[in-house]
Amino acid sequence: MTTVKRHRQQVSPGDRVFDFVLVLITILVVVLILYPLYFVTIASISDPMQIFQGEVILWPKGLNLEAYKRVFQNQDVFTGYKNSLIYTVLGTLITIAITFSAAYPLARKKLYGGSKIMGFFMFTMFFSGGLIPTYMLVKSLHLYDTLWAVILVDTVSVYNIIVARTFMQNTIPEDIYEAAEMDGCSDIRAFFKIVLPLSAPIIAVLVLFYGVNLWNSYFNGLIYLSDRETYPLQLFLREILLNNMADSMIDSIGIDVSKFMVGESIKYAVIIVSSVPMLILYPFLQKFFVKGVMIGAVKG
Amino acid sequence: MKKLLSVLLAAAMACSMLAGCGGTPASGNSDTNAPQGGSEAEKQSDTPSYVNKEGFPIVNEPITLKGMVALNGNVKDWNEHPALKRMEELTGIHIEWECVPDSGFKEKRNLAFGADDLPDIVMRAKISSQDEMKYAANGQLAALDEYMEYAPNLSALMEQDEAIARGITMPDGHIYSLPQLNATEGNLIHHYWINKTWLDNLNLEEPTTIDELYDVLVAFRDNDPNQNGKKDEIPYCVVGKDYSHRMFYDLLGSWGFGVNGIMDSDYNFSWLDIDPDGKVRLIGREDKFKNMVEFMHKLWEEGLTDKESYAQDQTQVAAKVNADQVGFVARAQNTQWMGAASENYVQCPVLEGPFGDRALVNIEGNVQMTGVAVITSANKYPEATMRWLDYFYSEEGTVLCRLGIEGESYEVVDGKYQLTDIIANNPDGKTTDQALGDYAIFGGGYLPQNITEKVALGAAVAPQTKAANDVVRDYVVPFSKVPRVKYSEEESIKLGTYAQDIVSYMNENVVKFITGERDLSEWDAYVEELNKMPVEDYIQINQAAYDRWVK
Repeated sequence: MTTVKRHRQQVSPGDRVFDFVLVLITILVVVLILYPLYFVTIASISDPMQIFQGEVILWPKGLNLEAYKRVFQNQDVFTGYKNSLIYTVLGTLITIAITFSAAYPLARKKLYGGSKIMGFFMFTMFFSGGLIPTYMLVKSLHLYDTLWAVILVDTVSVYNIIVARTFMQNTIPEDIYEAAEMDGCSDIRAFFKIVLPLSAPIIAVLVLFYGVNLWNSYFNGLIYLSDRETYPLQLFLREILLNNMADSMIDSIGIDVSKFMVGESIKYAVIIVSSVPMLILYPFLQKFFVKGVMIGAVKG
Repeated sequence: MKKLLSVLLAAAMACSMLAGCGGTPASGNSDTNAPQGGSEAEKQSDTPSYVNKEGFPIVNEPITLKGMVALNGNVKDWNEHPALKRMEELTGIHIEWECVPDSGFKEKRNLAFGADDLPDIVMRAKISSQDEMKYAANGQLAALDEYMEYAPNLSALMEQDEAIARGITMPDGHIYSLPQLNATEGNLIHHYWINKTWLDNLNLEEPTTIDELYDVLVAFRDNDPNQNGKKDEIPYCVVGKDYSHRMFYDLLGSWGFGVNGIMDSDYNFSWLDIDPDGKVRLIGREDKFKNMVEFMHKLWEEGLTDKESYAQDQTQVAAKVNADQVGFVARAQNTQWMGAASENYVQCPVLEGPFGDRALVNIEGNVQMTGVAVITSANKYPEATMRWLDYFYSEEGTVLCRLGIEGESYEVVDGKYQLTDIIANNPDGKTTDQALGDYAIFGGGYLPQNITEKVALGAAVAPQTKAANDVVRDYVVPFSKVPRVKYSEEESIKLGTYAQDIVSYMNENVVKFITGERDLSEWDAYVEELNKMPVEDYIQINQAAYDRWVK
């Protein structure tokens, strides 16, 4: 859109320099963000010896798919994948439902004591029980070692409720509710028929936030799960990434250094494998990030 | 705009809160602050009827305990582990294990003690002596000294070597955790290795003094010892990631430090050693140490030291070793980690320093690890549990722990233990450690066991390791001089407030001096700044702890 406008206007030399610098900075930032991803990719298919020698910089050296072979032979990775998918999908559904059922009433002006309720919510952003009381609570609720401990603990974030509420307040004018009410629409119906459809962009954003968050989280799994069969992928990933030679040598009868060499490219391969679902999810949701909404929804 | 701002602020606050919460969980549990006084009175009473004091099984009726263990990556789930099934058959004690991966164990263990949600027994517990004192003060650990009559094997060992008792007794006079004992030279001496092939290629003698080492390193740099026509040699290579003191640690003995023992270990360097008068000394401000830093700075300046030294871990160094690029590297008890390149390396003679000092100080004590196993106050059968744990200190027990099942993972040939072929040359390409993990539980150490030359197999007793030990033996600090000090609760709290600052200050500045970021002419200023910190208190507390240990 901006390019269209620019053609119509006179572009001063100063603007051109400004644009140039801007593009340059953008390219730099893009490289800064993309290169690590790119490096992980090429490192995962390179000969580990060459990675250590610092020879893998721009393209893979000594093509080697051993790491991927090992990753896919590893039963843990599949167990983790399955569990993480369940936790992420189920967890996202639940937290999105909770987030929006909290955000909608808070966005409505007619909610009695809305600001006070918001105050309670905000309170939890600054003060929490801490790890040990939460752990004891989870134990007493018999959530320990169940998938609910991973899904329910800490998943709804007040910050995201505020984001959703602010979005609704700013983009859905009170007039729409009034118009709907005139036509006999109840509050609940307004939520499902008006608010949710109009909130599609923010839902997409929050799905991504929550999804990525749940997919990447390992801490709840670490603390609240004890059965290996229920571990999320990130826990196995953590095990693989933290497995280093020095620790293994603390008490050892026989190690093999080449195993640790391959281990280095396995680390990269596992990172790739574990990032795939989120990389796939992103393009589908991305259009919502840029899509203009609500233009012309209310006239006059 | 205002709203956005407030949201942003809220978000920022939330982030900082989260960061704040990430630290150690609050200790809490002051209400359980009852010391183990009750059991003191019962001590006189006879053996409880459920437990047999001698012979097996340990219990007449099977009992079930809950255990927590840090599971090493190479070792099979303890609930299905053949070695522990063997223990159950033998003892009649069934233990339901919660197997926590090594990588997340500390969090989980802290939480269990923090929330007072205790298992009956914790194995591979890795409890620091500070934590041990804290848990004991909370009344969460059983005082094991009261059950020593149920630990005949350990008691016998303690009678032979009074250092064991000194090493595991806390300042309040009780024992709360069991140690891993090790009498195998090959496991306890950490070596420095020089590239013998390079020396031969250049017709050089093995260095015997620090000055000769310097000359050899210069020759390594200039004369293309790996004969590839490229100047890619790294004369002095250090595994320094997260452990910056490893730049000089292994050579401390050549400047006279650590000859009477170094407080703490290579893994947890506290900058303290014992001077000839038995006084605790702060290494980082000694004039001799300045001389050492000058030497290290010279190596760095002249391109003899690997510039990546402070950033690389052992796997990275192993890669350089295998690319035939490394001349001198101090790391590990044997050369197994070097893989195929290990043949190139030998332990050079213990180097004599500029002041005539000559000792190898990077060693571990016979009480190799403490805090490896504890019985908690939740345990209703401490007597039986103690006997269960004590079995591992017997030769059969340690063999079960380290070598697994006879006829499957090991066999006895001419009275000597030998790994079976399936372990030593695994058909699936597993390493010895990985293959053994299906039969033995020792992986990663931190177990109650008594490792003797007889049961030690593999790298620790390999001919090359023996040869390396022969070279240094006369100059190795006696294992019994490695202090195993314990702090009282009060001392722990005091140390907690400033010890880390003092150690970090020295770490950072010595790195700066060696790399030239800070000029050595500022050494006096550095010492002056250091002395403004509570170093005297730091030394005094350690002196008190050392005096308690040494008595």
